[in-house]
This record gives sequence, structure tokens and C-alpha cells, in this order.
Amino acid sequence: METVDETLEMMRAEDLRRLAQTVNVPLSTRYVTVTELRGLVREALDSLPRPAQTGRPLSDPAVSVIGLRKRYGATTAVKSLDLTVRPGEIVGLVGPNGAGKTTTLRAIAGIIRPTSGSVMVNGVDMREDSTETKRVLGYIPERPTCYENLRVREYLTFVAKIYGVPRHIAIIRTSRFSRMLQLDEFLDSYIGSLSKGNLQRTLLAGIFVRPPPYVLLLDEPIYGLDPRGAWSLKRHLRHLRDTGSAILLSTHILEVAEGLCDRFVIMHEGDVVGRGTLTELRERFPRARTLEHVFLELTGGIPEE
Amino acid sequence: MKTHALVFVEMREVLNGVRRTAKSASLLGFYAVMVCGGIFISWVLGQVASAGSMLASVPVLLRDYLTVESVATVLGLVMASSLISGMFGSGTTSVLRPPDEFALMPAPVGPHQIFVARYARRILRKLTIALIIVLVLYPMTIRTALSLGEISLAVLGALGLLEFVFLLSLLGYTLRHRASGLGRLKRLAVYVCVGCIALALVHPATNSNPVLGLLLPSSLISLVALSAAGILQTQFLWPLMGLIGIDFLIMFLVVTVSVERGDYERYIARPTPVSRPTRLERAVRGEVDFSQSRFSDPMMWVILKDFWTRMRSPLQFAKYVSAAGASVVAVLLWVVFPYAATRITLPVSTRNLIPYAFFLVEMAFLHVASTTSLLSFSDERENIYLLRVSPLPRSSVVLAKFVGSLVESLIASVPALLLLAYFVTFDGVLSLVVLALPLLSLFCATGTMIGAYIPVFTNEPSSPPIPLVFAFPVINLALGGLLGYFVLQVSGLLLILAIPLFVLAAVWFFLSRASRALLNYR
Ligand SMILES: Nc1ncnc2c1ncn2[C@@H]1O[C@H](COP(=O)(O)OP(=O)(O)OP(=O)(O)O)[C@@H](O)[C@H]1O
Ligand SMILES: [Mg+2]
Repeated sequence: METVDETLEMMRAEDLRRLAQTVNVPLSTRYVTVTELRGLVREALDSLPRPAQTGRPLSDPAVSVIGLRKRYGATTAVKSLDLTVRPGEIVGLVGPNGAGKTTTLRAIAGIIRPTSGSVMVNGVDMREDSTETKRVLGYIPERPTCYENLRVREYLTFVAKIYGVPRHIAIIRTSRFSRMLQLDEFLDSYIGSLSKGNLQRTLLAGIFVRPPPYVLLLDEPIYGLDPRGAWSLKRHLRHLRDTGSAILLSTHILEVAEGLCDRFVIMHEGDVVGRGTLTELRERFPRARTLEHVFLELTGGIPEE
Repeated sequence: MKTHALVFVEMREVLNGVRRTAKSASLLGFYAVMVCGGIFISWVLGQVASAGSMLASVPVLLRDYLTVESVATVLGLVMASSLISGMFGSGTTSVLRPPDEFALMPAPVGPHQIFVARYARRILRKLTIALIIVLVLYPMTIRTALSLGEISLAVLGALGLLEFVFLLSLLGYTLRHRASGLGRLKRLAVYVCVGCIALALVHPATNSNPVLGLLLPSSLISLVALSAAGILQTQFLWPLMGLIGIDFLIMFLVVTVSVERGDYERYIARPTPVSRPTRLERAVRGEVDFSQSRFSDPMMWVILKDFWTRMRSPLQFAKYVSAAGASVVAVLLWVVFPYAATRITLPVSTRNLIPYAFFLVEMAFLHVASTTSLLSFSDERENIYLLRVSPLPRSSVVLAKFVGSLVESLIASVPALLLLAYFVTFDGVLSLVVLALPLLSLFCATGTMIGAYIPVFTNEPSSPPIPLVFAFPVINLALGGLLGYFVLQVSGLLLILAIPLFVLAAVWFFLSRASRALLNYR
């Protein structure tokens, strides 16, 4: 991952000026070159107490779900789900439509209350509604929408405030991740005018302005992203995993799951029908070569050609 | 600290919204129409009022009818019904929005903080509306005895009253959901409490009680309203208003502290039309064979689909039932007792004003009834694209929305109008009732046009831009006022020819605009 210096190097003059204002760089002259300003900002940043680039490590396991059950009236969306995600792990939640993936993710995010069972995130029961726990959570819903009358930058600033990220760190991280997600030219656009993929990128950037590690709950995160966007997201997710984040993502795109996830949990009609690494799953089904075959076997058999 | 950030971002969003709308030419057009039309109406009203010295006689007229008890009872009835119906409404979830699912619900902010921020936004919105109304009413003050201060106070008072009613419904909602977690006995106790509050709000004994009356918003507001209108004399106007403020604050705080996370789940589980495909939606997706249908016209399908989707809401059902009841009563009255003695007789001095007053009431009433046309497009929500890509001509879609809402609002309004006309009768009252058809046609056409424009300007039709919504009453009142003026002032053969022509032309114009708007959907 790039260092602060590298980010400063790539930063546009406008962002640099903004940063200089936040860290109170004394500007005595009317004109200053970008290079000079960069030096001044760097000095000012150095004099600040070094913020931890990363927060406290997550507890292990980061997500622990025991006996989760969720009923909506007569339908049982999730029957009895056990699931753990450890820091440094990407777990894929796959399953046919209506299997209960979204319900599971929402329950872990604390948006809906389980009918029974317990959900622990970062060692704390979600029923306790702990602010500290929520600070590490990042959730992307399956149908992305956002506050359409905000500009992208305003939204990112807002998120930083809500999560208590210091302003100068927010500016640095905004600049870094808007570049990574190819969002920088849209920073001043209204969210209501963004395309679907750029909206998705905005939501992702909204998570990444906060310092890691995270517990990420991503519902179809690749949805709507173009190949380049998908590629850089995947790369960044791997980087986050390697630096101690815990990631649970649901997806239908089995190639993505296969290439990205360390372990899989396969759901069908609210039940877990298979779990393990790809090798373990293949051992269970000698006929299956890819995740797709395992998936089809577990969720109703492989259709005849 | 975080609440502050939340409030700040709400305000910024509102501001940005205004900025965005101000940049679009067609919206500026709407603004212009709105302000000019509004000023025109209030100027006309000012003329009429000063000519008939109507306003001067109003307090005299009302003094005999209005007492603190009667006003308090009516207000209490409104408040009690909102408290009770609030228990079954969407309550505090109504402040949540779809992006909150990821942005705020899992974030380290509490539901009460979200509520406070959204309520602040609501107040800002209400104040803007108040400002616009006062601006529009300004010309009325020129020829009449009313002052700008009085008008502002009246507008603020009316909006404040609506806010009270809204908070009460939130209170009902939170009480119900807080109670649902309790044991049986405690739950019963809460319900009994709600019943007692409702009763106290309505009952004349509590309202006129010198101690309880000073706690109840119903009696407090009626006291203030009557003394502000000059019907009642009191030196305690300001303390009374302070008490109202305290009542309001208490309710706000109670609602704020009792907002809970359960709202998130209820919001997410709210029924969306998407999950239950209706007949047309299935037809558009090619899943239903309409060859068996008795109707061969696609327009009819759209109307039927709208009808059935609306019928799923209990409120709508209640509306049809009460409309049926009212029509039966109205027809019975007009046919069986055409000259009953119970009709209200009015002082001679005001008799020549009655047709005007009746027309104004009729217009206001029809206007309210025609709001369905405004909602006809935004009710579709995300499904709007289904209509857009379906192989229907745009004109059919627009016509269907128009005819559907016209029928709907005729059903909702005409029986009640007949009842009103029966009790406040005068020569030619029925000819004014007949005007309902041209008026409603006009209103529904403007509603359809504005409704069609809402999705052009926003992706979130649940909170349409203020000017768009305001354009609706303003255009309606201007056109209606014009029509009424001609009917009441001019008479003769010319009228019979001119009205249909005028109405047809206007309807055609509005609907063609609506059909244009469909082209511009995002
Ligand atoms: N709010 C709700 N009210 C009622 N039923 C619900 C609700 N949410 C989900 N369900 C039901 O629960 C089941 C699981 O839904 P869920 O959204 O979790 O599935 P999913 O695996 O995410 O599907 P998809 O792949 O289509 O996104 C479905 O049968 C759905 O109809
Ligand atoms: Mg899902």
C-alpha cells in the first residue's frame, strides 16, 4: 500500500491546499509552488502526533455467528447458521437467489435482530449495540443507493465525521482511494448523477476513508463494476486481508468467489449445505472440478446437458 | 458531536437540492409559474374580500359558532385520531431513507441521532414552505385589513398545528412498539394510557378544566387560536404559547429517546410494490396473456393495475367504503327530503357571498381530492421503467394515469360535495356542483403533468422538490379561480361553449407536457 508521502506526491493541488488548511500550514506568501506546499504539508504532518496507520487488531474470530435463525412471518429466511470469519480471511457466502445471504449479512451488521442465536463481531455481542464494534464494520448493501443531493466528496467527509476520522487523515485517504477506485474526476459530482458502477465505488470509498482493519460485509460488491474496477477492488481486498481485516462477501459470480475467497459457505434455502476451502469441497465431490460444479451439486444437482 | 454532523449533512443536502433545482431551466419555469400564479390568486382573493368586506364580517359570524370547547373538541378529535392511527402507521421509520441501510444503520450512530437530524430537516422544509406561502399571500394584505405579521402568524400556526399532529402520530407509534416488548399486563396498561390521553384530548370536561386544560395541547391551541383571531380576550397569550412550546418539546423528547433500533428492521421489511408483481407488471414482463381479457385497450390495463395496487392499502379501501356511504346518504337526502328544515340558514347580510364561499370550499376540496393524480407516477417508484420500456405509446400511459385519477377523485369528492350542497343550499347550488367535473379534469391534468415531472427531477420520488409540489395547488387555484370567476360573474350561452373548450385545451396542453416529461426520465 502506498505511504503518506506517495499519496502527497500524487495529490492534486486543490486537495493539497485543502490539506494545508486543515493542518494549519502557515502561509505567509501569496503564491507558493505545489512542491513547496507539499514540503510544508509534510512538515506539518510530521509535527502532528503520528496517527496510527491502522487501528487496534481485530479479535479472533472477528465474526462469530452461532445458531442464527431469522423468521419473517411464516418464512424462515435463515434456519440455523454457524459461521466464523477470522482476521486475515476472506469468506465467500454463495447460494441461489433467496438462500438467505442478505439476511445473514444484515443480521451480522446489526440492522436486523436475529429471531434466535447470537452474533458476535470483534468479540462483542451485536445486541449490545456497541459503538466501538460498529466503528470497524463496513457494510455494502445489495442494491446500492446513496444520498443523491450530496457531492461525492461531501459524502466521504460526512462518513469520516460519523466514524471519528481526523480531518487530515480523511483528506489523505479520500485522495488515495478515489484514485484507486478511479473516482477522482467525480469527487465534485452529485451522487444522484453517478452511474451505477461509480455509485458502488463511492460506497466502497466511504468505507475506505476509515483506517483499517475492518470487518467487511459486502453484498455483491463486484456488482456493476467494470473489469478494471473489479480488479483493483479485488487487489485491495486481498491487501486488507493480509493486513488483518476480516471479510465476508456474498456473490453469485463464482469465478470471482473462486479467485478471491479463502473459504466458502454455501447456503441453500436458509441452510448451510457445504463449507470449506475449494480443495476440501472438491474432495467431497470428486466429480466436481470447479466451484460451479460443487455449487450445482449442493443446490439441486448438476442439470443434464 | 455526531448529531451535529448528521444535522449538518442534512442541511447541506437540502441546500444542494435547491442549488441543483435552481440550475435547471424547466424548474425555474415552475418557480415562475408558481409565484406569479400564487400572487395572482391572492390578489384576486384580496379584491373579492375587500369588495364584499367579507373578512370584516368573519369574526362576527364565527363568534356565535366558535367556543373554546367546540374548537378544543375538534382539535382534540384530530389529535386523538392521529395518536391512535399513528400506532398503526409507519411512525418514526418514515424518517429513514434507503441509503441509511449501509450508511447509518451499521454506523456508530444511534437511531435517535438520525431521528433528530431528519426532524431538523423537516423543520427547515416546513419553514421554507411557510416562507413561500407568506410571500404568495402578501398581495392579499394590500387591500384588506390583514397585516403581514398576522398572516405569518397564521401560516406558522397552521404548520405548527400540523407538526403537533405529526408528533402525536409518532408518539402513538413508539408507544405501541415499546409496549410490544412488554408483558401482557404492562402492554394493556400502555394501551389504556393511550386511550386515556385520547379521551382527555377530546373530552370537553378535561379541555375546560382549569388545570388539565393547561396541559392539553387541544385546549391550549384553541385558546391561543381564538384569542389571536380576536374572538376571545386574554392577557395570557404569551404564557399560553409558552405552554404549547413546552408540550411540543416534551413530545419531541419522548419520541427522540424512545426511537429504537427495531425501526431499522421494520423499515427494511416494509412492503415494497416491487416484491408483489401486479397484473400489468407481469403482463409487461410477458408472463400474463391478456388475450382473454375483456379489455383490449392497454390504457385500461394501466388503470386497472393502478386500481388494484391502490386497493391493497387499507386507507384506500376505507376511502371507497366511505364514498359509497356518503353517496347513499346524499342521494337519499336529495331525493327523499329535498326541502328538509335542518338546512343551515345564514344571516341575510352574508347571503350574497355564499356562492363564492361555496365555490372556494368546493375548489379546495376538489384540489385535495385530486392529489392522487400527483402521486400517480411516483407511486410506481422503481417500476416506472417498466412502463417506459413497455410497448405502450406514451400517450396511453399518460391518459391512463389521467383517467384513473379523475375517476378516483370524482368518487372521493362528489358524494361529499352533494352533502355539503344539501346543507348549505342556495339557488343554483347544483350548477356549482356540476362544475366539479371541469375543475377535476383540470386539476387531475395538472397533477398528472407535475407527477410525470417528479421522476425527471429526482430519483427519490418520496421527497419531491418543493417547487414542484407547490406548483400543483398554485396552478390549480389559479385555473379554478379563473373558471369560478367566469361562472359567477358571466352567464349565458357563451359560458356553456367556453368552459368545455377552455378545459379541453388546458387538459390537452398539460397532458402533452406530461407525455413529454416521460421522454426525459433518467
Ligand atoms: N423483509 C423481509 N420480509 C419477508 N421476507 C423476507 C424479507 N427479507 C427476506 N425475506 C425472505 O427471506 C428469504 C431469504 O432472502 P435473502 O434476501 O436473504 O436472500 P438472498 O440469498 O440474499 O437472495 P439473492 O441472491 O436473491 O439476493 C427469501 O425467501 C425472502 O423472500
Ligand atoms: Mg441478496
